[in-house]
Order: sequence, then structure tokens, then C-alpha cells
Amino acid sequence: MGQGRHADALAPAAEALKAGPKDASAQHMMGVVLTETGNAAAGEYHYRRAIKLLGREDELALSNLAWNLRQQGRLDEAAELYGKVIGPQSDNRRGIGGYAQVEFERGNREKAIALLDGALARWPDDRTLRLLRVMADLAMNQPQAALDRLGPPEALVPLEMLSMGQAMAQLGRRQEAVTAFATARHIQRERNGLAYKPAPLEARAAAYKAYFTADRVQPLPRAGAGAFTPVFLLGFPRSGSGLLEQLLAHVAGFAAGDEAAPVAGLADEVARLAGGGAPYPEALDDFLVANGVESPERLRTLYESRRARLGLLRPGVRFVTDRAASNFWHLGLIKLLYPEAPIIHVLRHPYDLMLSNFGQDRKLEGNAQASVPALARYFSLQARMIGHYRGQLTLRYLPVRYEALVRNPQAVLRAVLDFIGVEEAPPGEAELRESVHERAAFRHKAYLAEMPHLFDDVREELTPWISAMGYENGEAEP
Amino acid sequence: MSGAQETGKQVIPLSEALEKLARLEQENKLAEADDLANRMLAAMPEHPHILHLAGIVAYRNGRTAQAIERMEKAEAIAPDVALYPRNMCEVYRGAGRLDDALRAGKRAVELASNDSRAYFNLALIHYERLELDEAVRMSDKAIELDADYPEAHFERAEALLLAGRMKEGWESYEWRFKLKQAEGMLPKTDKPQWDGKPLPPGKLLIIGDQGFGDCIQFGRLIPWAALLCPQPVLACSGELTPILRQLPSIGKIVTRWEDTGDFEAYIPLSGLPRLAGIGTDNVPPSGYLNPAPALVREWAEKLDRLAPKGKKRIALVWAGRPTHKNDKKRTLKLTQFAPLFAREDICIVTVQKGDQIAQVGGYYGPAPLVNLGPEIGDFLDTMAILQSVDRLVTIDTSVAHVAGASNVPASLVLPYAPDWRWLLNRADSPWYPSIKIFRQQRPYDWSGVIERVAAAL
Repeated sequence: MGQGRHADALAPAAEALKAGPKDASAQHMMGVVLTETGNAAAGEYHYRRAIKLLGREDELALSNLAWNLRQQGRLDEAAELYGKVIGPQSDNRRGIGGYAQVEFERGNREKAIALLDGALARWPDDRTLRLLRVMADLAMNQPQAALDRLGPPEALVPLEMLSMGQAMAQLGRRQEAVTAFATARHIQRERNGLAYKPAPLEARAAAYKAYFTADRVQPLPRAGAGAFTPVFLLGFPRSGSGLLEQLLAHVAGFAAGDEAAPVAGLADEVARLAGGGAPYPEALDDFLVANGVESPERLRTLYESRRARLGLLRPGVRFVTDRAASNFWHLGLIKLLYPEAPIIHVLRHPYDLMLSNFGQDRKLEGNAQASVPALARYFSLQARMIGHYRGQLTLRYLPVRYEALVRNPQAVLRAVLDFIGVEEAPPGEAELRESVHERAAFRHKAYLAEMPHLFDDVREELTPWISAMGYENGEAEP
Repeated sequence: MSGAQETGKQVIPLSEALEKLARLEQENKLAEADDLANRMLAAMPEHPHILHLAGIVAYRNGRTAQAIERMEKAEAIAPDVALYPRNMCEVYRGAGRLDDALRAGKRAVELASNDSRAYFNLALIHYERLELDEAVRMSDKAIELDADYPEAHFERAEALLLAGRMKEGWESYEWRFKLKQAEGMLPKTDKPQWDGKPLPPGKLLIIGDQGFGDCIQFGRLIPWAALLCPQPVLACSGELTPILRQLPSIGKIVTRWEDTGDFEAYIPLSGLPRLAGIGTDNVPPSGYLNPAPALVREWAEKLDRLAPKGKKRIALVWAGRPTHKNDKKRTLKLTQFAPLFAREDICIVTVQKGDQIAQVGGYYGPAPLVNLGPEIGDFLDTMAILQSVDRLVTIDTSVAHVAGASNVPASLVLPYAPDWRWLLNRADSPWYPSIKIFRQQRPYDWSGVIERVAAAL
């Protein structure tokens, strides 16, 4: 855990927990590991066990729980908890940082900035707090303030360098932005070993494609109707699926499930339920036999109960969006659990996706953020995987474009609602506009005008997609 | 021949190497043939026969441009070898260069006026150019030289039938069972082929001999046969059983020769039009296939859930079975239907089956698309789905027959030289009144065709 290798820590943490289930530190450790490996719902359980075993309001455990709730998108609960444990004299710097992030995300910008500024006054050399403050500058479109706060570039670590690049981009100093991003990624690759590792992803894609074919999936049993209709949102990172989810959340009857409790977690259950010893997805063949036919229904129930635990199933909620980044892997399993669930795929010009992800501090599968060529390969892998499922399965699939979404959110939302089968009118233009912050459609053009060779390395990989997705002939342009 | 071919350290005579190369190509060992051809060419780049054979090998490996380059070079070096233009005729045809194919074909018969194969190749080119009288004449020349030449007889039949000369065409069409690919289509029996005379109940065996489309098309004549021979036995593939079971008058349907029972005569389904004297003006009406209402309802409800409301539903099939001899000519890519996809008032419902279904994965066009193919089990499903769409747009494949036989409106896109059954110079079909035909204006060129389909929706 100390080295940040949370996935590797999972097995020893589990052993420790089994050896001492009443040990609060073992429960706490499990909470950390699960939260940091993307299973926040399970992590929450262990944090709560730890707190109960401690029998007191331990500041570290409570602030970690608050961070866990933030990861689940439960911002109000997280803020309430942080408010309880982070007092004016708190020395918990990470807790203060988390609290500030939560408040910022809740729209309480002044409070967030006050927290960060207060903490920086006490610990002026804390780079994490400073970086959070820089990110707040950037979110408020104050790039010069961010640059001033960061100081000279030669002293910056990669994450700070990425923020510097974003500030440059906001100032229109595009060449300097690209240089900053490239330098940050270079250091991450060379010093932190964050190079793209595509082999396991390619192997997984090959295995899923070999299994999920029309002939093999057709005879598998499917679950019946559930308690609500999930709406699956696909999209490469930074494509705008989050924006679409926010817009849908304005519509009566919708709840935003974000990335919590994903179908990927159910894939792990398939082999256990099947019991035949085969791994996923081959284990699905056991669903053909005897009681196996009930398995899709059981998995769907599990999916629903996990969503219910997140507090998503409020009265009146009929649709819950699911924006898990891993969904593109699991359209085959989704087909068995929700055969006719709407699947909305947010497309965005691949060059814009490259730019946006290259400069963001977000770790992608296989370290795909490591370079633009790595991003391009990962983009192709995702697009091929989605394409495979679309060819082999009858899906209720609708592609929408980010560019159209930011240009005319109301019209796109209307089209999406029609597709889902919702007759309620979408919220008014003004209300939607408030959510549409980013006007970054086709921003790669300005970059290409200054740096014509910027995408030379990835042109071969991306041109077929640019063409297939209708971006080549200007079809999608305003 | 003199000279030698070096393979590693072993030296073998050129004649043996050429023989080996030809053998490898005939045995479909194409990678080995390619390797040998390349080595031989490296050693003797100007040898016409090596060039010619290497060209054939390149063609078989899908490298048509290289094939033509090699073969043209061979012909230039040895312009009087009849074999060269004869084979080039076919390669040019495969490349869609019909003028060159015609020139080569004519040169081949000029150099070898007693070569039946050369005339047959030329007949094929005339068919592709829709010069049907010439196609028949060249087939006749081939038959004059070799009366027992099934391919030439069959080519003659196809040209005559396409020209609407049905009576003559049906007679030549009988040669189809002597074609190599027809082996095993008919039962091994000493019983005669049916001559159209009455037989006792259950004593006529009807064989679903050709492709799915043919069986559906000719299935309409089973009631006519049953008037003469009640309760005939129908032998066909398992895939056709559910749909052909709908036809009235059939005694029983079998899928294995040993279940045919004690029949007194047999007749392939495709032999019925000849016996019934079918021309272009007396085709029994379509509408003889009807999907089960419950199945229609089931698919209609599914489509209502999957397809957006308020749009015309257009079912689509763009690819045929790749093993079909004319598949290259009839099959399109999904992307070639772009003019259709540009219409935002329609929803595409793909009823495509097979490997080409994967092309849906790359579709991002303006018209919404529902990919139903993966959930279609058999032709009954397809027929039921077609009841819930406004129109089918299809290439020349079995689904066109399903639509036609159940009177579903369909737009059929056809190559310049189509299969004989669609006749010429007409936008309708006497076999299927619900089908509207859209033909290529130039050989192998789909431009404008889909635009016309889209505009006519």
C-alpha cells in the first residue's frame, strides 16, 4: 500500500482480514485497498466496520470514508462527513484536500478555496495542496494565477507540469502546452514506469471477441425485466459521457449512477455462479445447463441491489445511468442481464480526445495516457471492442456526438430521451447551458494550424475511425 | 525444354519445376505455389510460361494487378501461345476489365479454333457484357467441339433464360447436374427422373437441389406437381424445412436420403419449371408463403421496442454467401449504402446473417440502425420480421425470395449481368410482383444504384 500498489495489496489485505476480522486496522486497510482499486461500494463496508470496531470517531477512518463516498459520487454525504471531522485546527492535510475537492465539485467554490488557502497558509510547501489550488484556478479559468502559483517549470513534478500545460492551453499558448504535456508524460514513463502495456488488454479483447459471437450468445439465457431501466453510457475518456449523464440527471425519473458498482464487478461473479471451473467469459456456457438458466436473473438482482445500496433508487426513479469506464468490455454480459437496455455511445473527434487525455491527470487502463500513440492504440482497442459487440449482438444502441451535445444540448437530449422512450420534456435551454461548460469541440484544429505534424504518429491508427465516425467529411461539424 | 531451376542446392529440370508449379496451383497449395513461382521468376524473369503460371498463382492469391502484369508480359514475349489469352480472358473478367477480356477471348479462339474451353471463356465474357446472342453462339461453338461439355451447356442455358427464351433455356438447364459442383445433389438411384406423368400418392420425390433462393422460388410449383402426383416427398436441407413446410400439398419433408421412402420417380425442384412449361407470362402467383401471426407479433413488438418511432423501417441485406459463384458480383459493403443512410426519415433494420454482420460495428451513419441479424434463427424469423418493415432493400440473395414469396415490398439491387431469373431491361419480376429492381448501369459499378433506391423509397 505504501508503494501505491493497491491491486497487489488486495490478497495480503484479505488474508489479514480473515485472520483478524475484529481488527479495526485490518478492516480499514481493506477499505483503502478496495476504494483505490475501483470497488468503492465494498470499501465503504470495511471502513464502516473499522469505525464501528474502533468505537470512536477516528478522524483518519472517517475522512477516508468520506473520500470513499466521494468516489461513489455521493458528494453530499461526503461533505457532511468531512464537515464533522475536518475542523479549523485539523492537521489532516489529505482530509482537507479531499474536503476541498468535494466542496468544489458540489459547486461551493468559495468554501473549497478558503479551505485550500487556509491549509496553504499553514503548510506553504505542501505540493499536493498547492496542486489542488492550481486545479481550482484552472477550473475557474484563471490560467495566469495557476502559472504564478506553480512557479518555474524546471522545479515541477509531472502532475504539476500537466497543470502548467493546461494553463498554457487556456492562454492559447498551444505549443508550450504540448511541450509541457509531452515532458510530463516522458518523465512519468522514464521515472515512474508508466508506459503503455497493451498486451493484456489485447489478449482480453481477443478472448472476449472469440467468445461473444452471435451464434454463441444467442442461445444463452437472459434476465427478465428489472426494477429499473439502466441506461449505459459509453465513451472514450473525455468524450462527454459525463456531461450527458449530468444533463440526463436534470430529467425527472433519472438518477446518475456514474461509475459506481459497475457490471465489470458482476463478470467476476460469473465464474463463481457457474461453478464449472471455467473462467469468464467461457463460464457463461454453464448458464445453459440446469439451474444455470437462473444465473442472469441472479446477476441482475445483484446489480440492482448494489445500485440500491448507493441510494440511487429513490421514489420515482425509473432510469439509472451507468457510466462505468469498463462497460465497453462488458456489452456481452449487459446483453444477458438487460437485453434491451439503451446504450448511448458519446463520440468525439479522436484528435480532440487525444489532446484532452494527454493533458489530464487521469490514469487509464494499461497506462494508456502515457503518450499520444498509446492513447490512439487504446482508442482503437475500445472502438474495435464496441464495434465487435455491435456486429454480433442486437443492441439498442445510439451514437451521439459531443460536438452536437455542446452545440445544442436540448436537441441532443430530446433525441436521447426519444430513443430511451421518455416522453417528459427535457429541462429548458438555460438550465442545460449551465452544465455545458466546455466549448472544446474541434479544438485540435487550432493545434494543427500551429503544429501541422502533431498527429503524424497516430494518423494511420486514427484516420479509419475519423472516417468511419463521419468526422472526415465534415458531417459532424457545426 | 532445356534449362534448370535451382531450389536450394537441388537442381531440377525446368519442365519438372513448371509441372510442379501447375500441380501446386491445381491442388490449391497456393502459398507453396507462390513461393515456387517467385523463386522461378527470380531465376528466369523473362520466361513466358513461368510468367504465365506465376500470373495465375498471383491471381489465385488475390493479387490481380500483379497477375495481369505477369500474364501480359508472357503474352508479349510469346504472342502465339493460345493458352495465354485464354486464361487471361478469365483473369481480366475477374478484374472487371471486360474490353480486355473480350480482346483476349477473341485472340484465344483465333489462335486455337478447336479449343472448346476458349469458346466457353468467350461465352462467359459475352454474358457479362449482356451480348446474349453471342454468348449463346460461343457456347454452341464450344458444344460443337465437345458435345459433353456441361459448363458450356449451362452457360447457354443461363444466356437463353436471361434473354427470356425460357423454353430453349430450360432444356439446356438440365445439364446443371453434370456440373462438377452438382455432385451429390441428386440421390444415387436407378429410378427415373419424373416425366410429368401422374403417379400414385407419395411416389414422387422432389429434391430441393439448388440454393435457398431457388428452392423458395420454385417451391411454388410443388402444388402443380402434387396435382399429378399427390403428397410428394420433399427432400431438402434442414434450414429450408421450416419455410417449405408452409407449402400446401407436400406429403412429407425429409432431410436424409435414407428417409425418402419408396419413390417411383424423382425431380429436382429446379426441374419443375421445364415440366410445367413456365415462361415469363405464366408464372404461378407469389404470396404462397405466410409467416405465423404469433411470430409476426413477437417480432413486431421487439421492433417497436428497438426501433425509434416515426421513421420508415427499411430492412437491409448487403452481402450473400461468400461461397456462391457470383458473390463478388452481387455483394456490397454496408458502407456502399450510404445514400440510404443519409435519409434521416428512415430506420435501418439489418436482417443480414453470416460473417458480414460484423460490418455493423463500423456504422455511425445518420439513420438509426437496428442490427436484428444476431437474433434471427431461421427463414421463418426473417419472413416474420419483414411483415413489420416498410420495405426490404437487398442484394440478390435468399431474403429477396422470402420477401417476394410473401409479397413484401422490396428493392432489389442487381449487377449489370444478373442471374438469369431477373431477366433484362425491366424493373419488375414476373416471379415476384412486390419486388422492384434496380440494376447496375455499367458492369461492376454500383455508382448511382443505391442513390436511385434511396430516392424511390
